[in-house]
Amino acid sequence: MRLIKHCAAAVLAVCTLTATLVSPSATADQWPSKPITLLVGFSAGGGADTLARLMARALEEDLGQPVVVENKAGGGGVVMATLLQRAPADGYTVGFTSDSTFDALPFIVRTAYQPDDFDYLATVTELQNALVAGASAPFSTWEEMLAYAREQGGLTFGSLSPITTKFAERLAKQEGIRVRTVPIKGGRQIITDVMGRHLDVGWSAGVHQAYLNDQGVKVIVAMNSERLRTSPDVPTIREQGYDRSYTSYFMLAAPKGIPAPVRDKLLAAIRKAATSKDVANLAEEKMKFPNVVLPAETLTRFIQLRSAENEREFSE
Amino acid sequence: MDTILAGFSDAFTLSNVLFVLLGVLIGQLFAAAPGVGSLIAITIAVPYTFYMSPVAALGFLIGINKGGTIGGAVSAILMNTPGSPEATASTFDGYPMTQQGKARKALRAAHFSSVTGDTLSDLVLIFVAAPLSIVAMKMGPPEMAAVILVALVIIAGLVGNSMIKGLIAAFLGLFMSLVGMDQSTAAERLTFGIPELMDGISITAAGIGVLALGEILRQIVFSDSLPRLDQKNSESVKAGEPFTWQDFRTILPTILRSTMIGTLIGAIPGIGSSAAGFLGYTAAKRASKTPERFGKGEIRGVAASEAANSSVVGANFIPLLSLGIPGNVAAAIILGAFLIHGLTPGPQLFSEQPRLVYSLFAVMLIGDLLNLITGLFTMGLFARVIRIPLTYIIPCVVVLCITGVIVADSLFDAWLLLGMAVAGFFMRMLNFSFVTFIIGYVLGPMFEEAFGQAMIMADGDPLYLLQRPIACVFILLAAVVLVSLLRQHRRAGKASAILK
Repeated sequence: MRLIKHCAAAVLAVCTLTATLVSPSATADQWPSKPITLLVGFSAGGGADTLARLMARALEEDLGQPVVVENKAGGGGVVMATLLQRAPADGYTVGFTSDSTFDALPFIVRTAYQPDDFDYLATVTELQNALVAGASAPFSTWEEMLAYAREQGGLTFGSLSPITTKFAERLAKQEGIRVRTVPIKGGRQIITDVMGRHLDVGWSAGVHQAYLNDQGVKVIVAMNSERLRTSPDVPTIREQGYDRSYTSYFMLAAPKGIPAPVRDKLLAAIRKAATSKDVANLAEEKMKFPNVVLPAETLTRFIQLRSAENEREFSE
Repeated sequence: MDTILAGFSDAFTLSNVLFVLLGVLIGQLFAAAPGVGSLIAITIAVPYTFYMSPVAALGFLIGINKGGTIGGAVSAILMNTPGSPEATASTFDGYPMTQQGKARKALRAAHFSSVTGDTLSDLVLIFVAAPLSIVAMKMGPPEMAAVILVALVIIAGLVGNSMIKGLIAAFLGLFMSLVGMDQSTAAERLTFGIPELMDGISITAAGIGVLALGEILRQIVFSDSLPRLDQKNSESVKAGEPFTWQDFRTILPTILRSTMIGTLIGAIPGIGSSAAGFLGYTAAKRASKTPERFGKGEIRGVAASEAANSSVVGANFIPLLSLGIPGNVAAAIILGAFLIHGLTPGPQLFSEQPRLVYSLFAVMLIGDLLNLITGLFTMGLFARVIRIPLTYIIPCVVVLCITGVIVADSLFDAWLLLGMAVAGFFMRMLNFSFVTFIIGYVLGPMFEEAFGQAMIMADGDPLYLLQRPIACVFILLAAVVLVSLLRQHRRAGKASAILK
């Protein structure tokens, strides 16, 4: 027994020693020579976290180093991004969250980071944003909803975040109706409240897809730039005459300035993991989120564009 | 029906059963060991469930909760010192029985009463929770705000002997819960620019700090000299008069009465098992034809207290599962565990994850069975455990507390934990109820959210309330409870004045 303990201690000591000796001198050829940390902007459990954990597992297999998941939930990813920005840009710390953490929140909250503090690596899935109402609501289309709002003197709207609250303000202004925005924690609660008709409409980032039935909810308008896969007959918000849409992604980012050779290796591994069978399966089958894997350049452009849009909108 | 079967079969895996068993044993041990109750065990265990499947995790925690119901009786009966506060009423007749050499009979009576009470209340939960959750779908933000108001009023009034101190503690809890990011505006509140605080103070750090470590600190400072179990009593555990079928028939009516009381109390948020134990005991004494025998080693007294405090455990899940409102501190901590696993207790849980809910029910019944079986062996064993001095128990518990928080959260939260422990220590010193503190901490944000939402929906029109009759009923109820509690307190105040 004591022998085993001593051996274990020795192995542990050697490991620690190698880890400390190797890491400073690690070059791109050796990367990754120590475990990689994946910071996740969501709490443990739930779909987004599972997706991140599957990504970690796939990366681990490909890179041959452990990928340690650390949940840093809070503030829609702000906590995670704040910690990510402080991490060294060596390819050993990567973050997983939704793009709004980087391209919207810095203009709404006073964050310690800005959108160009990060290298954007790839997306994993596209969310399915929609405006939903309870199945028993007396309106089913955009026009009917507006008519109902004019007749009833307004609408109650379950809002998911400051971004969706801003949308409600625009809606009220553009259509000349009253919208009472009720902030609700969590997409599921919004679904429950519209199902029980406590709220007229609510924002869903995709949870509604499991409730598209007679007792559940119906989609009034798609908020993504393209129509939603699970509600192909419902027009998008752009089709209804709005000049912006709300497509969003679950995605990966790293602190800015990773050495180019390391970055290339990392990008290749992430792309492979994001398109792996496990990840694709969870996204497409269980979460019903299209497994859209945008490459780094496209994603970076998307975030720059969206940042400009949000900066304008929130400084109004 | 298929979902029920599927849910039950999900629960009956080897690993789940083993985790429930482990939970039951830990609960029994912690409740039996002096100084640490099963509540402390649950708080400490939460972070370690992080890496289990949801069913295993909840089964483990529920197992601890159930194991605690029988462990607490051991030291109450053998040493006149309740292992956990809810077993206080079990000392009244349990210890006299020990003195008469009937420790063996008393322990077994406590064991069977606990398990019977607990199982029956689980059955009530299983039959009542699903229909209740359908009603609960009718509860929008205004109704939720009203229900939470009722819960807050009951809790503030019932706990501790000073209503003002109870309210102060509850508001301190509320205040702590304000830390973090405001949901509607995303503005930071009381975070001092520390990113780790943006998500608020974690329930694990707050719970373990105030409940577990705070109590340990108090014991370190005051190094309670605990009564020791003497040799004679310890022997009567093995050799004394056995518990017979006849005894069980004698106590069965008492068990059923206490179970009804305990289940009712468990279903109302905020009262808790200690009160149930006392009420069950008083009711049994009042119903008895020979009340003078109570307090002198009446077996019905042990049964009454134990069945009542144990039946609270299952019934506590009624408000938790149907409304998402924790009935007492243990339920609040278990609510935290649900959230860690991405599950939100409440009406939508039944429609979304019926299978999981039935697994949960199955796990509870497994826990009851295991509690029954293991108790046969462990209760005698714990007669020895309760002789372990605090010098060995305290360091182990402290290490478990700190590593638990680091596992669940981070090193930062370990510092928070220490701060909360100091707060918990002073609350105990100054007689501020830590129970209202934690409940305030848990219910505060729920109330704020629901109330804010209701205000927006009402659009500032007080007459809007008339469109929500259910909310009206609950608000009236809160008012009635408040008035009657104030009256009771005034009467109690007069009584104590006379005594002086």
